[in-house]
Amino acid sequence: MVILIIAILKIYILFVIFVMMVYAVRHNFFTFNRLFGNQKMCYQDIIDSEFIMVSIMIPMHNEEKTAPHILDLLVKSDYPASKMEIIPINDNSTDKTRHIIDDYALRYSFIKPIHRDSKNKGKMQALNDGLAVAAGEIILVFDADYLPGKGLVRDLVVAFKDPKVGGVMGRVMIINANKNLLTRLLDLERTGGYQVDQQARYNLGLIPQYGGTVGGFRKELVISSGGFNENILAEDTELTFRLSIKGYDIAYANRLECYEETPEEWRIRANQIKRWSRGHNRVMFKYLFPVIKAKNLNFCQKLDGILLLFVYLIPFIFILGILDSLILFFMGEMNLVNYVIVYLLIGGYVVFGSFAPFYQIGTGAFLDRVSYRIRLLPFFYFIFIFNLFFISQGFIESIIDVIFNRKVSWQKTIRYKKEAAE
Amino acid sequence: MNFVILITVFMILIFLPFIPGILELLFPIDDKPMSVRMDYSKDPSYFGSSFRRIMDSSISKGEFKEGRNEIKLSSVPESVVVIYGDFNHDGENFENIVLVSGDLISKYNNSFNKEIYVKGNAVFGGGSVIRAAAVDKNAELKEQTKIIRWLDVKGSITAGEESYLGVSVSCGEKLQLSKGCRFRRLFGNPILTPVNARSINYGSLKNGKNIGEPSIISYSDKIIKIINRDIKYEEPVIINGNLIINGNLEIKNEFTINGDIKANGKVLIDTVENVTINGNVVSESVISMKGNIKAVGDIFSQDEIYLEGVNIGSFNNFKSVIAKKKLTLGKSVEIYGFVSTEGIGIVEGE
Repeated sequence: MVILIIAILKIYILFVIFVMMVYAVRHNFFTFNRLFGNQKMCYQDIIDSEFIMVSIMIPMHNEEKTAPHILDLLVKSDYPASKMEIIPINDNSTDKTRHIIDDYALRYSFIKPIHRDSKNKGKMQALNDGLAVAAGEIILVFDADYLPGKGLVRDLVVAFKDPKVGGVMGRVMIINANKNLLTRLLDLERTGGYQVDQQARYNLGLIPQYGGTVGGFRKELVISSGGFNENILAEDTELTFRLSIKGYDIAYANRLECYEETPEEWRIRANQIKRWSRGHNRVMFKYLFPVIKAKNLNFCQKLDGILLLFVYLIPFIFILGILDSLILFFMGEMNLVNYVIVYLLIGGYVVFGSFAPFYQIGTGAFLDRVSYRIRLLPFFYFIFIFNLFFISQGFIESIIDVIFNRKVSWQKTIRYKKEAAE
Repeated sequence: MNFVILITVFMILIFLPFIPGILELLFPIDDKPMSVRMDYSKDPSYFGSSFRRIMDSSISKGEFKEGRNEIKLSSVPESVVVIYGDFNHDGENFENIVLVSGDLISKYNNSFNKEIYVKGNAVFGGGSVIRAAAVDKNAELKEQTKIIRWLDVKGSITAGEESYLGVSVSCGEKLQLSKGCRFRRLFGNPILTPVNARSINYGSLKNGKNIGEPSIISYSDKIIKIINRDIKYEEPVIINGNLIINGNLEIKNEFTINGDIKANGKVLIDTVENVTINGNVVSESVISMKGNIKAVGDIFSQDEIYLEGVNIGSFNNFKSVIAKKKLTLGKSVEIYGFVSTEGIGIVEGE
């Protein structure tokens, strides 16, 4: 029995090493593609006099600090007002959000608020209510703390001139980057994630991710498949896979940048990333086999899809790997298969693998021409530990959700904006 | 003792990589949010509009007198030579910003090394080099004129043979190109290339031939239908709906599509028969459209585009032709709107 357990523990260690190597290669591959590969254009350079009807949905729950900012910016958009409607969705707010958006609706006929008083609150529920009344062929979604520029709506919508594009995603930039160490690190993380990861996946014809904000989709595609699943907290990842499996592309537009506010407190960030992990892993459970079986995805897209689905599972696998190695070490059973192979794998990972995310972030900063801030890279060790813990928590919660068919509830991320716009 | 030393050395080595980061946190030099241009709005005549705005502001304030003046275009004040009336330039070089209230006529091989603002018409002699120019009426570029950065004209532009059109050339009316012109971005209403001797009546040529009844294919606009093979149409066909292909598309006969075309492979249209595309054409590879073609939508390629005998868009209904690597315009091309390439654009010669 003991021998069997030791064998399982050893196999698991080798499995963890293999998985980490796969992700290290993935990080390096994307980084090399971004540095030396053919960079695919997005569609934002297209000038076209014919505009598609677009509905812009902004879910809002107690957003009195942010609502005026985003509404002011959207009404200044260069998209023709006759072809655009803005739908702020007040989801059970108890502050002045209702009055603020009603006031805007009185001033601008193309602002059409929805007020939700249902107990069934949450972003997915709010979006489903928005979809039911939206007149637009295309739906754009912004979180309330986002600050879209004048030309952003037009540049996002024009991607749908390609009939195979089912969703579009712009780039998220952090406006409160200089607040503290956490915001600075999250800013760098975004740089690596968008400037390198998303763009490389777009370049390679893989599966760039629709991020649920600063992006959009074809309304009909979501409505025809039953709207957003209200039991999955990561409606963005879910939509990404839903569209990809059907054969639609997600267009990533690196130049279409939009500011957002990022958490300034570790506690808030912990909740946010736990929620992402919980939602993402639900998507993993639901879409793993459909991705493997999908007729409209080629081998590379399936591989990328599977690796993307597993992203929020890896920290849990890694934590178990550390525990496993400790057990084997104290049992004096670290003699795994063949020392040479193991040391080569571990050595390879230490030299190339563990640096891969740093390399990706550093490359992103280099491409953004903000090179001094990469001096903070060693601090990502703390983010790594932090993520390991809270992403694993999210994974465990997602398992409980699945086993007990637990109903999920949306937890809004705290806003830091000090005062509303004049 | 040795243990304490080892621990100390270990702690120092652990701490070392954090020193630059700690310095950056204590004395930040790169902590500002990355810049996003909130007022950015796509405008093909952006350069000309911005330049005119600054110049017109000074003119309206009465700051400019005949002769040499100063203006702040960016951070450093620059000299502006103001000429009230027409200006016949026959010098070889002009090193200052020039404002001409009337017409400008320059001789051969003149150089304008700073921006020019012409309120009337402008004629640039052959071989002239112009850094950037805004013209309020019409502009004529004689052969082998070279624009370094941009040219924005409110009226029409005629570009002579072998002209180099810099980063951006835009106009409010007709932009007539000649053979050998090279470009990156163009905007015109329309953009025209030299006409082929063969008469072209884009997409509605009545050639009198009995080509038979076209077959009709319909695709649902609700469900995406992806065709995973190459397609070649050698007989007349009408397609209702979007045509999405994981492969190459070849059209060799009369063809009408009431929808968009998307191909992961090449899109090759080469026929003397009518081709009408009531939608957009998007390809991950080469697009070559040669014949008698009317396209209502945009043409977009991640590779190269070749056009000949093609009409795109209509008056004041602008469309775009965008190729990542190379864009070649053959004869009888008429594009209402925008043309752009990250590589090189060229008007084909004989």
